[in-house]
Amino acid sequence: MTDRLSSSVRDVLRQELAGTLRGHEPPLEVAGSRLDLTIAPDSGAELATTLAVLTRESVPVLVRGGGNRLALGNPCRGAQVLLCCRGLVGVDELDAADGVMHAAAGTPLGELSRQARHAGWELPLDPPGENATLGGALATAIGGPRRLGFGPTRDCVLGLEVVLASGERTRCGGRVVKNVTGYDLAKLYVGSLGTLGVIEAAWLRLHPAPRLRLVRVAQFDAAERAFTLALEAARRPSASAVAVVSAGLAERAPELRELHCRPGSWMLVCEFAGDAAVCGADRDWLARAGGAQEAREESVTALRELQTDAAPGGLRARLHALPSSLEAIARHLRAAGAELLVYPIPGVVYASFAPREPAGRDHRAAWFDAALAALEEAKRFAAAEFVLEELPDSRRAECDVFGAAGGSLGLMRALKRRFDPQGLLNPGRFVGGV
Amino acid sequence: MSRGHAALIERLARVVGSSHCLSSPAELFAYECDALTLDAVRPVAVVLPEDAEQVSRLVGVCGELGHPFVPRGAGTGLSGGAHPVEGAVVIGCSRMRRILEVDAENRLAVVQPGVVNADLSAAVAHLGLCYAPDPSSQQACTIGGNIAENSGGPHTLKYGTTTNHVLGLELVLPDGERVRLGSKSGFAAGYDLVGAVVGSEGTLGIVTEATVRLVPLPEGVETLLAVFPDLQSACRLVGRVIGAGMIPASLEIIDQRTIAAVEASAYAAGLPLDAGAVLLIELDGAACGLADQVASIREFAASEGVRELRVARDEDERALFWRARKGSFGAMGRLAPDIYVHDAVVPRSKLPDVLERICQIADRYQLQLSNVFHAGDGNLHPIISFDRRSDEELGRVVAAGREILELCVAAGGVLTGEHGVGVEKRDYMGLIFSAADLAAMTHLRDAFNPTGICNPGKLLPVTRSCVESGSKARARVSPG
Ligand SMILES: Cc1cc2nc3c(=O)[nH]c(=O)nc-3n(C[C@H](O)[C@H](O)[C@H](O)COP(=O)(O)OP(=O)(O)OC[C@H]3O[C@@H](n4cnc5c(N)ncnc54)[C@H](O)[C@@H]3O)c2cc1C
Repeated sequence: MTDRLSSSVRDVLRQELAGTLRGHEPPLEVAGSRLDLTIAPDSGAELATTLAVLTRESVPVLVRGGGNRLALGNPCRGAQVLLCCRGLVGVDELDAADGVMHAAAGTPLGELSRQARHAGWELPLDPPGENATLGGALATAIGGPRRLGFGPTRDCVLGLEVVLASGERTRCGGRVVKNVTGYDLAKLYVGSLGTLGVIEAAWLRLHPAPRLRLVRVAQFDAAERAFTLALEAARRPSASAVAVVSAGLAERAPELRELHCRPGSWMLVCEFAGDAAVCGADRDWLARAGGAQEAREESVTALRELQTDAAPGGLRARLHALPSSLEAIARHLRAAGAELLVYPIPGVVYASFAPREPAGRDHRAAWFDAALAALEEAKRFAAAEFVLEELPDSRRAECDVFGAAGGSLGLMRALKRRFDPQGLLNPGRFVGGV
Repeated sequence: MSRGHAALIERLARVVGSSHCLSSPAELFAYECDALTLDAVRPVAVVLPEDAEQVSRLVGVCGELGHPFVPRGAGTGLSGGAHPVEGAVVIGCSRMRRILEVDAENRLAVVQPGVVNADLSAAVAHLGLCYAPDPSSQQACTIGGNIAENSGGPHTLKYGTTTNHVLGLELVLPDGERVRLGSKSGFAAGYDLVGAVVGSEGTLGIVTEATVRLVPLPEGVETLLAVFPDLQSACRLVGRVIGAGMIPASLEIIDQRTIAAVEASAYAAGLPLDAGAVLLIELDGAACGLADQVASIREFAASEGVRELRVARDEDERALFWRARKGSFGAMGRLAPDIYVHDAVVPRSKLPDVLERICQIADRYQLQLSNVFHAGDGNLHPIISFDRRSDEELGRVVAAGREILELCVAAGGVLTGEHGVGVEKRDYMGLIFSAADLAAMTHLRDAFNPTGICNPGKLLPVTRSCVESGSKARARVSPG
């Protein structure tokens, strides 16, 4: 499908790059590309040299953090080298007085969380993926169940060090919690799927560690009741995570299965965190309103993995919509056969469709087209936006998983052209082929 | 007026009507600068469109005739963001002040850019909601200006700055095209262009509509005033409160000189004149959680040697405490012909040390300096009182200002926390950013504004050599 790396370029890379470099024969097939080489720099300086050489030789690269979310995005077109950032590790500053931390992009989030907790703080990031790295979490900017309390990914980023395609090492933002010095480039890099530059390190703002966490679950046969209560719960002062899960999906997580979800019902999972008096008041409110039962903290972390649940060969979409339209979307998609995980705030629905019948010779399967039609319908009646996060490989080539970018695509292409003129970083993975 | 200008003015007037196209010197005078009153430049014309369509056509005319344009809100900016350049047309948003939609269920509002900040909160108060960013200038400044500056306010510590409250925008690009960025849900596929436009100081286009988040009014509020013998112990209490995991809505410090000025003014709040500093603490949220926090603060304050801790008994007393804080710029402005309000940020834990050294710098330059600041964010506002009629004194003000910024940067801080770079600090950008960092910022600007026609000369150093050469003398009169 793509050109192989020429042997002369391969030799140049071997000679010039200090980082660990490994050849693949046959090429590694990842995210739509066939990769001849993996390069794993273990310092920012090495990362910069690597990118400078790759750009000089015009070699397209696939950038990888923990490798958890490589399925996210469109296929990477024609990358020849895998740039692995896991070697950039370490927390070189954790200011316990200010609650800020500086960490290298390849550091696993688990490690960052541990260090933050040890200093009396909490890392406000909980994306799915066991071995997610900081860089991967920032590049994908996908939150987990506690996004309600944590805020969006971008909110914890105070400053970034980013290596551009040219190999130049740049900084934006800083280490302080309030800053308008120059353009807020960190907003652009966060969520850009590695298409503008490669994140080397970040200054993060930590949250105070909550003194208490209380988890409660309730079950409802009526969607209306579940969704009304979920939104109210999410607006309680101590709510840190609130989700509604369809019974079929809840069954797939052991921590939720043990709570015996009735078939066809909706499970409401609420976590209250922070000050004891406020959590207690919110717990009592929920008991009066919904008669909830006590559950373990693992019921909340289990939601994180349900976000990435997908039947093999199935379809999973992430929809974004206003809180007031979630119930209608959920009913509609449930009727179309989807299992659902819904975060009422900020209005996110994960819908997964299992394959019903095998695809025919032409790779067409009626279930897939019906599922896509149901998503399009939700988009129309609820002004929702959706991203396809998981889909059969045979379908990847024929659709943009982000949908149409609309009027701002021109600006996005202009940005891409300026930051990465040769289009070498994760080519084609983002919106509209960016 | 030159012939070229006459043609331009006629074309502009055709778009907005001649009564909304100002071009006489008397009319233009008020638009020569913002609240940074030096370096004033008279624009060629000021146009006041009423909708996005007109904005787009005006921008088209400017492009066609080769005149730069400058977006403007209420002109309360403190870094010269709305300053015209030679030959510029000012596009003022003051007539675009309609609140287009309030969606209480989803807690959002859609507004035109000229809506005054305080008017939005007032319009949704009956729904139990408010617009959280609350710059001290909120009675005058506009949502468009707030978005351009990513403005903050005394409640930023808990609620965040403007960027945390903007979901979507309509922007007229420098070539006249209208684009929608973000959405009501806050999500839009692709790069976070809303995030990039907020804080871009009017250099990427003109915001013609904004979808903003509304937040519920807090159930309970406690306002405390802690009187300390010195500034250092007030700063230490701030550290204790943050370190204990509390997130007050506000943590504001007023130093001794400011107390004296406030007490001698109409904003007098009965603060003890011999106090070294007072710390204003506001806690808000669920009513049942506040008592414990007040108790902890009492305990911390006692161990830091507080002289007196007052807790506001009612709304009147709360307003009195805030009057001292909000009136402090105004009160300082009465003490000298001019004041220069700096805006820099340092890591919170460095506050005691940095403040001490800032005072030493002022002493060395024989300048009167006072401090009123957002202590919880580490956002300093050193205020220098002076008389700009003396060139020699102005020179000292500027030199001291540069040293203060250098000190803050050396402490791990930044040049501005909320007032913006504008023209005031563009030539200081080299103090914290390398040429490569600035080039990356230029990539963003050029993607939106490739010809540079939109608000030129702001935010980025004008030429490479300026990065190193520093700034020329500038100062400002009282913003209060
Ligand atoms: C007494 C006083 C107190 C202040 N207190 C605070 C404070 O507590 N916190 C704080 O953050 N700031 C404060 N400020 C600064 C100032 O009020 C803010 O920066 C404010 O957001 C400016 O709004 P404005 O409408 O006056 O904008 P202007 O001053 O008119 O413009 C500011 C910038 O916004 C751009 N702009 C305006 N409208 C648009 C638009 N529609 N589209 C694109 N760009 C646009 C302009 O080009 C300019 O670059 C204070 C100022 C004063 C005088």
